[in-house]
Amino acid sequence: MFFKNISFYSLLSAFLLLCSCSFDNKTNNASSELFVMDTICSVSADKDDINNICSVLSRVDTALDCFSKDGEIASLNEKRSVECSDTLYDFIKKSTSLSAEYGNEIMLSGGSVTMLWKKAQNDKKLPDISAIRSSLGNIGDDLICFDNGNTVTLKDNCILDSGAFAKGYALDLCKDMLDSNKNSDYAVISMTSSVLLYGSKPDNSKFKVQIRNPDGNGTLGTVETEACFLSTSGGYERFFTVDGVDYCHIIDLSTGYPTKSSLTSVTVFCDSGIMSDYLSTKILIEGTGNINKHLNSDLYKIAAFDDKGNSYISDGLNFYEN
Amino acid sequence: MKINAMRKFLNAKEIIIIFLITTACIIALLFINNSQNGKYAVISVDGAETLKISLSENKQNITLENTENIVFEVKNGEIFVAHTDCPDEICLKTGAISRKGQTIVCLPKKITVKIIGTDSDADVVVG
Repeated sequence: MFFKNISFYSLLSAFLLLCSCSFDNKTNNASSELFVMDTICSVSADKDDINNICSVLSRVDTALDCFSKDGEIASLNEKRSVECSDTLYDFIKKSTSLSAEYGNEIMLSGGSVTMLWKKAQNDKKLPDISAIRSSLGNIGDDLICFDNGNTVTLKDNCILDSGAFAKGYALDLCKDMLDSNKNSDYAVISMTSSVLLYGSKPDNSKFKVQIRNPDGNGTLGTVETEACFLSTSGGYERFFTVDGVDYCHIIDLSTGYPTKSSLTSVTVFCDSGIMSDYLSTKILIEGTGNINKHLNSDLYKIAAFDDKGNSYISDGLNFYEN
Repeated sequence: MKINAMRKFLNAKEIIIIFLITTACIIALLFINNSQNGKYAVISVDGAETLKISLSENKQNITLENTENIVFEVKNGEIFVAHTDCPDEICLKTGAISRKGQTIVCLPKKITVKIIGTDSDADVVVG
C-alpha cells in the first residue's frame, strides 16, 4: 500500500509546487519605460504591442508639443494659422468640446495665462497683475477658428496649451491601437497622473490602483476597478515657492491665478482618457462646492480628498483606505 | 465498509507521509516567497536600469556613474533624493518612497526610481 501510493503523493506534491510557482509568467506581457510628453511613461503590454504604443505616444507628443521646435502646437502658436495633422485637429475638437460642455476653468486656449505662470515658476518671480489681466483677454476657445479642411487659425493673441488634455488623449489613441491590433489581453499604460487600464488581468481579478498621498506619506487608499481610464490631479510635489509662499502648478483660468482649492487630490475614472484628464483638473479647481454633482454622475466616478482629511467617493467605486 | 476502507487508506505511515509532503510544500512556498521578498529600488537612466538597491539597509551618498549632481539615500526602508541640482527640484520634493509601484522621477536628468518587491499587489500607483 505504501509503495503503491507513493507515486500518487509524489504527483500531488509536484502539482502543489507547480501551482505555487506559476503565479507569475502567466502573461506574454513585456514592460518598457519612455520619456514622453514631459513625463515618464511606463508600459506593460503584449511584447508585440510595446513598439506600437511607443510609436503612438511619440506621434501624439509631436502633434501636441507646445514648446519644442518640432511641436505642431508650438508651430501653430507661432504661425497663427496652419493645416493641422488629423491627430491635432481631432485633439483640438475634443478638448474644446469638453470645456464647452463642463466649464471654462480649463481651456486649450488658456496658454497666454499658463505660460505666464510657467515663466514665474522658472524665474521664481510672480507675474505682474497687469500682465495677468491682459492675458485673460487672450483666452477663450472661440478664438480658435476652424477653416477649410484641417486648417486652424488662432485669433488675437490666443496661445494653445495642451497640458490639461494631452496625456489623456494620448491614452485614448493607445487604447484604439490595442483594440485594433488585438495582441494584448491586458495592458497598463501609466503616465504618472493619467493611466489606461486595458483588458482583463490573467486571473480575472480587478485592477488595483493606489492613489498617492499629496503630502508624500504613502497612499490615500486603493481603488479596485475594471478596465478604464483614470487621471489624478493635485498639488503633489509640483508646487513652486515664491517669497516663502507655495503656489499650485494648476492655474484656474477663471481667475488667472494658481488654484487655492480645498481639494488636495482628485481622481476621475471613466471610459475616455481625455475626459478623465480634463475633469480631474476641473473638479480640483472647483473644490468641494460642486462635489455632489460629480459624485452623482453617471458618466464618471471620482475619488476626491480635501485638506481637512475628508474623502468624497462615488457610490459604486470600490475604494478602501490602506 | 467505507470507514474501514478509509482507515486502511490512512494508516499511520501515510499520515506521516502526508504531513511531511505538506510541510515540504509550505517550506518550499515560504522559500520561493522569501527569495522574492524584501523591497528594492531600481534606478534607471533614460529607461536603462542602472542600479538596484536593497531597501533593507540604510545607505547614504548613493551616486550614479555618468550622471552627476544627484545623490540618493536609503533610510528606514525608504529611498529619497538627498541632493540634486535640478531647477524644479520635483524629484527632491517627491520625498521618500517605499511602496511597490511608487516612483521618483527626475525629468531633467531622465532618471526614474521605482520600488519593486512583493509586498503590494497594486497594478499602478497614481498621482
